[in-house]
Amino acid sequence: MTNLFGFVIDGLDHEVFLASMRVCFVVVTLLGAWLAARDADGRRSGRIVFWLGIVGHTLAWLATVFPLVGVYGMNASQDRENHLGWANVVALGFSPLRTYQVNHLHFEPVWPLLTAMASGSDVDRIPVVFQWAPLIVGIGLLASIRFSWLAGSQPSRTMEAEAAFAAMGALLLMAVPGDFAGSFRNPWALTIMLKPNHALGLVLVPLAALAISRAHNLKTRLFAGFVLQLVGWAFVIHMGLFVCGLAVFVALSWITKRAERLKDLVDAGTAVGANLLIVSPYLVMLVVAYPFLEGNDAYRISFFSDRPIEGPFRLGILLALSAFGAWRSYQERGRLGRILAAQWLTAHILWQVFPVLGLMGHAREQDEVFYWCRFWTGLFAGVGLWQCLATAIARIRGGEPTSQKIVGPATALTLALLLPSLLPAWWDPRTMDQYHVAGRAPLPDWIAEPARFIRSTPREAVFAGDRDYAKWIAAYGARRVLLASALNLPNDHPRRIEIETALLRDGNPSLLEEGRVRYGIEYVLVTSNPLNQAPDITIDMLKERRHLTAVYDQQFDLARVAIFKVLQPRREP
Amino acid sequence: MTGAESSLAAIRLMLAQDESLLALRAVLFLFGVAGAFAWSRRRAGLSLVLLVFGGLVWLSYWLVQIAAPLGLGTDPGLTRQWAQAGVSAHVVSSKEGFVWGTAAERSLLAGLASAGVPLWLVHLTPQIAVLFGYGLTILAPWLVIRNRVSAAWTAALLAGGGLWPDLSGFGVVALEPSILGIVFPFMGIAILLRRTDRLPRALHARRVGFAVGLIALAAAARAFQGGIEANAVSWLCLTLLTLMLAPRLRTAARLISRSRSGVLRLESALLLCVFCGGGLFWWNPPRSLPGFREARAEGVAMGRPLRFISENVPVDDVVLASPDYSAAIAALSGRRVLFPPRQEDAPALPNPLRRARLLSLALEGRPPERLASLFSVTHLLLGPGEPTPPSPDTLVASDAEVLSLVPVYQDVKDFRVFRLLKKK
Repeated sequence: MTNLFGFVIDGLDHEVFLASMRVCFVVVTLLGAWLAARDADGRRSGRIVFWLGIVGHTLAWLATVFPLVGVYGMNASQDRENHLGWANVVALGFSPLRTYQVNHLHFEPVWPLLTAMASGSDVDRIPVVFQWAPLIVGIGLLASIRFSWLAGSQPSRTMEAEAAFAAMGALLLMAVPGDFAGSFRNPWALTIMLKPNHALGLVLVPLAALAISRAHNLKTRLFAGFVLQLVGWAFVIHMGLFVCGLAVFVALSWITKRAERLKDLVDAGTAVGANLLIVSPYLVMLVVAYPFLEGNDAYRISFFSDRPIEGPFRLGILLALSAFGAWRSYQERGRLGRILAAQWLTAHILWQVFPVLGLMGHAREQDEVFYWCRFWTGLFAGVGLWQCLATAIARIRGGEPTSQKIVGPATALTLALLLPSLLPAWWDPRTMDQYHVAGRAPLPDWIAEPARFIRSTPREAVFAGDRDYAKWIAAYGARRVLLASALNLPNDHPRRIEIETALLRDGNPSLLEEGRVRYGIEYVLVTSNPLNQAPDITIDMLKERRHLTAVYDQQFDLARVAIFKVLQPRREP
Repeated sequence: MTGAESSLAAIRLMLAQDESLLALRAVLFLFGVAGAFAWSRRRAGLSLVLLVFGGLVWLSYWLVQIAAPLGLGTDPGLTRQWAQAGVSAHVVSSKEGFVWGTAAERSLLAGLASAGVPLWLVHLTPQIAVLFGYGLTILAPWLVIRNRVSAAWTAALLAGGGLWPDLSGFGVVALEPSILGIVFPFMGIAILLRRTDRLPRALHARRVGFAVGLIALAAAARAFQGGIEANAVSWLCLTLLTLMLAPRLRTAARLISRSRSGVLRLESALLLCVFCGGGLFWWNPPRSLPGFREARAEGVAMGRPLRFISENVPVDDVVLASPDYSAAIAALSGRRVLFPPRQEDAPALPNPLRRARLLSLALEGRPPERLASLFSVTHLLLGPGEPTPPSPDTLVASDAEVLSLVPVYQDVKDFRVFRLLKKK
């Protein structure tokens, strides 16, 4: 077996490999702390922390993906398989505005477009793109936070270290070892590794905050709105959450009677308005294609749930440090600091709203708000500890916390104290990550073998039949389907179901013709597992249908898989 | 089952439900809030009592669910220790191992059993160790910190599991109770340090280096071992570090806030965060402690045959059974066995071929008397799925030196016990 890097991993000692990644990070961080302690003028410290963030993320990423035989999330995550399918569709040359359900309107079009472009429109390269995406997005997140923090603050010797700790904290302090046992599992793995498209939203958020903090006339306000709508296209929930944070930012300005409160209102309001104007087509797509107003028992939260406590308190003392960091940033770090601190506050307020929504069955996307909460807590936790130590050292030595002689020691101590909590120091995917464990096994033969055949069919071919198997047709066979149980039903689903029924049962010629012309259906795939929509239909029954001819039929240990070509209906003379 | 046992079983069943976990966590949160509030009202003692009481309730909630020896059958090392303890509690000579012909393995559990501690109490060692360890960590601050309020503050932080989330030592103490033996020398040193000023001054002068060294050691130990629960070294290092840093957190609060009430509010907020985000509050042994799920089930199926063996097989006799049952026979019925629980250890035993031959011939219904007496084997245990040996009348009559297998126990779960007797 080889991994996606091309290395043979049969003889890999998994445990030793993971331990070596963790030990490497611990050694490098201690070395970094030692170098920072020797930093006489406070210039190097920030850069050291920033590079430690990159090294840490890289090691954790490598520990997670190197021992896998395929792309992370394979074999276990429906979300990842959906994304592979969507990216395949775009790489084949179809519209990024459609999902792998043929003609179905998409609600997350940017990521498939980006990944397809990165692959050079080659479906064989899509898994490799997905492999590297978490690393690139993680480093992008570090760079984006650091850049925004530095660009939005008054230049000083402490800024570099603060910015680096904010970046490192947002990425590597967002999780604790026991998260794997919680409702939403490890935020780093679920956001950065599994859903880099969502993490892309996090990359853009600090830039949007920077743009709004710098807005002062119509042109810059519109530019801020433009940056904000990019967040919406990357991940619309992050845009919604960020806009809520801006509302709190403005509200705090009015409550505290700040002199610039009217400016805050106008700048934020204009940016949000411009953003909504630009992103409105997407919002329409979302409303049309995504039934987000429908309540559901899955979105109900028990009155006795521990989730209100889990959001803020799960990080322990890091929550207190992040509160301190946010408070200090609000007080002392100018407009950007106020915007970011307001986001921290809003994240925690929003999390407390969820139990109320949960009582009505509308606590949708809890995981995303939970990760949002963790992102801001992590971001300010590192900053908070650094500020705390800098203040304490300054008081003990006598001087200002911004003095150049304070930066080095405060940075070194902060690094040392944070080390046991930083993700790469304790990350053990073998025991903490179900997707890593599942990804160690190759794809089951009853999925992998038919996928090879499916790839040999014409690229515009559309498959009908087993809706549960459909996501694998898209993810591993790189073909579109009529209906998939892994996606929302398209608005024209009643007609699709009629055509599907005709394919599986009587073969009504007009419906078959409509299926070919309107949806491009060329194949039907069924397995020996009963179809949800037609449990009485068997492979042998389909072999009797005149409008179908078997082109693939293979028995595997777990199931039999058969693919039928749909014959063109004969036209009446 | 006695009334007390059935009541305990009913309590365990109730506690094992997910709803009870949520309810109790909510109660623990209220303890945290009450403790923090008491601290803000300058009631340090009351605050500590509330937090420790909440912690004890929470730990007891989990520990009372352990119905069978923790790690028996799931952790090879612990399985051997439990098996040895079971045999040591019954067999006269403490030098004999639980596998016939081997020397006794030394461990805390076996030592307790040899010393005459009742076996049921030995089985509670992990639970007692966790509670004892919790008590020691709460008491430790008073040994090293002279200021009583700071000592209470430190103890309150340690009551939540320490400053670093998810790096508490409850799991490691449950799995390795002997680790507490290391704590005593530390406490002795701490008591000595209180009597002299020279060493504390030296340590104080190098406190930053000492703290960084402890962190490096804790992080490196955790990195080497991995896994979900913190290991012993990282737990001890981070506990020491909490002892060092906790008073300085109070100093930091005084530096940040100028008013006395502000300092108290800051401290109580910090206490609430640490307690409700610490390793105690979120400790979830079914997910993080290896063997906890298995130890929740009492092994009802095997309980009856093992009780039968315990009550009817002489203590010096050896029970013949497949290696799958070796650990349970030794640990729970206190009788020696012929095969170790792990097949890999079998070749290292004396006479491995003869042992295997005795088992195979016994399964064929023809155990040779010579081998049975050599190994002191008097009984054979068969589990579900193992075929019953042929009855004596179907065997060759000329087998004069062959023992007969007399069924002495059988239950609906298909466990069977045979006695090896000379043919009449």
